[in-house]
Amino acid sequence: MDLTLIVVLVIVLALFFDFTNGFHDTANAMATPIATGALKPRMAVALAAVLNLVGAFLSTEVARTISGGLIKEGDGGIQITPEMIFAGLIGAVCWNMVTWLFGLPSSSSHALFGGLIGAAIVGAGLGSVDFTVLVSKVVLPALVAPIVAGVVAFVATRLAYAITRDPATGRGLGRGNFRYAQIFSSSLVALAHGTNDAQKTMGVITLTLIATGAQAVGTGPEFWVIAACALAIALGTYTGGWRIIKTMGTGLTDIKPAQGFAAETSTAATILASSHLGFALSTTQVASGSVIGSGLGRKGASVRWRTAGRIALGWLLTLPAAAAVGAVAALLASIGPVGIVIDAVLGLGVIVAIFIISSRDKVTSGTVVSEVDAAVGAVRTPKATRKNRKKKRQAAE
Amino acid sequence: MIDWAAFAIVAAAALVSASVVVSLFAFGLRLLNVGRGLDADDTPGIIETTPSGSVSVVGGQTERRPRWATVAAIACFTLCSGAVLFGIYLIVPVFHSS
Repeated sequence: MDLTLIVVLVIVLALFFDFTNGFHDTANAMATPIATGALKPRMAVALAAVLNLVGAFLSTEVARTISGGLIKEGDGGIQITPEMIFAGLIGAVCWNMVTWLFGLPSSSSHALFGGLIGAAIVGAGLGSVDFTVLVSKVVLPALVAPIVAGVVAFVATRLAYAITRDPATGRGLGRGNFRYAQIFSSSLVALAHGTNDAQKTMGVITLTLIATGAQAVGTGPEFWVIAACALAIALGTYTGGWRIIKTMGTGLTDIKPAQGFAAETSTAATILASSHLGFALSTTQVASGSVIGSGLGRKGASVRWRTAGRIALGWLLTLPAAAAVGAVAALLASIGPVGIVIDAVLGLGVIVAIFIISSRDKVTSGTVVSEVDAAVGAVRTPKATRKNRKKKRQAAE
Repeated sequence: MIDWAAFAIVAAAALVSASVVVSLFAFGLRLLNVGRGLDADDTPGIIETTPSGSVSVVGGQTERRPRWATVAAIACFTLCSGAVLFGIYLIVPVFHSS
C-alpha cells in the first residue's frame, strides 16, 4: 500500500477526532452511575473505555454509509481527494473544540459530516455530495432518532414506575434498586457509543483509502482501521473520564434511578438498532432525547421549552457551522501544498490554544459535564419544585 | 430514495427491546419487594405514638419474602439479561456470517 504524507495526515487527524469524541462523550454514559454511587469512578471509567473498545468491533454498517454512500467516489461520481477529507476533518475538529470550550451543545458526528460536506462542495462542487444519502442516512435520522428515543424512554419510564407501584398506596416499591440496573444500562450506552461513533472515523479513513485507490470502491473498513479507531475512542473515553471525576458535583442530575435506567436502556436500544441499519446518528442527541422523554414520563412533568429550544438550536447550528469551517479549509487546501500546510498549522494552533485555555480555566471546561445534563434541565418535574419550595420555606424560617 | 420502512424498524425495535428489558427488570425488583415495606425515600415511615407513650414505626422491612417471589425475581433478571444478550447477538454480523 502506498501511503503518501497526506493520507498519513488524514489518518492521524481522524484518529485524533475519534479520541476527542470519546473524550467528549464519556459523561453521557457514566455520569449517572457515578453520581448515584452505583459504580466507583475508577471502575466506571475503565468499564466505559473497555466497552467502547469492544463496541467498535461490533459492526461496520455506519462506516459503510460514510465510505460508500455519502460522498460520491470512484468511477461514477466525482473524485474527491484526501486533501478535501483533510480539510473537512480540520473543520470538524475545530468546531468540536470550540463548542467544547464554550460549553455549547453540539454533536461530534454532525461536526464531522458538516466538515466533510463543506469541504467536498467547495473542493468538487455540489454534485460531489449524494444528497439523497445525506438526507436519508444522516439528516432524517438526526431529527427522528432523538424523538424515537424520547418516546421509547417515555414508555419505558411509565412501565418501570407502573410495575413498581404499590397498588394500595400508589407509592414506590424498591425503586432505589434500579441504581444497580444502571450499571448495566450505562454499560450498554458505552457499548452503543463505541459501535456508532468509532465507525464514523473508520468510515472517514476508509473513504480516504478508497479515494487514493489504496482500497477498492465499495469495500468495508480494513481490520487495522477498525482496531486503530477502537483504541483511539477507548483511550479518549478513559482520558475524558478523569475530567468528569475532577469536575464531579457540578449540576449533576436530578434523575431518579428508575428514570435513568429507562432512559439509558432506550438510548442503547435506539443507537444499536440504528447502527445496525447504517444510520449515523449523534449519540449525544439520542441520549438527550431519552433523558427528556423519561423526565416527561414522571407524573405531572412538563417541558421547559426555552431550554429545549436552546439545545435544539445548538444541534441545528452544528452541521452548517462545521461545513463553513470545512469549506474555508478546503478553499485553502485547493491552493496546493502550501494551503494544506496553512490548514494544518491553523488547525493545530486552534487545538493547542484551546487545550491551553481549558487547562488554565478549569471552570469553563467544567461547566458542562455533558450535554445530556443540559437536557435534564429541559424538563420541569413537580417533585423538584415542591422540594425546592420546602427548601426555600426552611431557609426563610 | 428515503427508506421509511427502516425508520419504522428502528423505532419498533427500540420500543419493543427497551420496554421488554425495563419491564423485566422492574418486575424483578417488584418481586424482590414482595412482603416488604414501601420505599424509604417515598414514605418516611409512619411514627405512631400510643396513648401509653410508647413509640413504634409502622412499615419497614419486618416481613420476610416468600420463596416463590425470590425464584420468580431471579427468573426475571435472567430473562432480562438474556434479552440484552440476544439483542446484541442480532446486530453483530460476525455471528451470522457462517
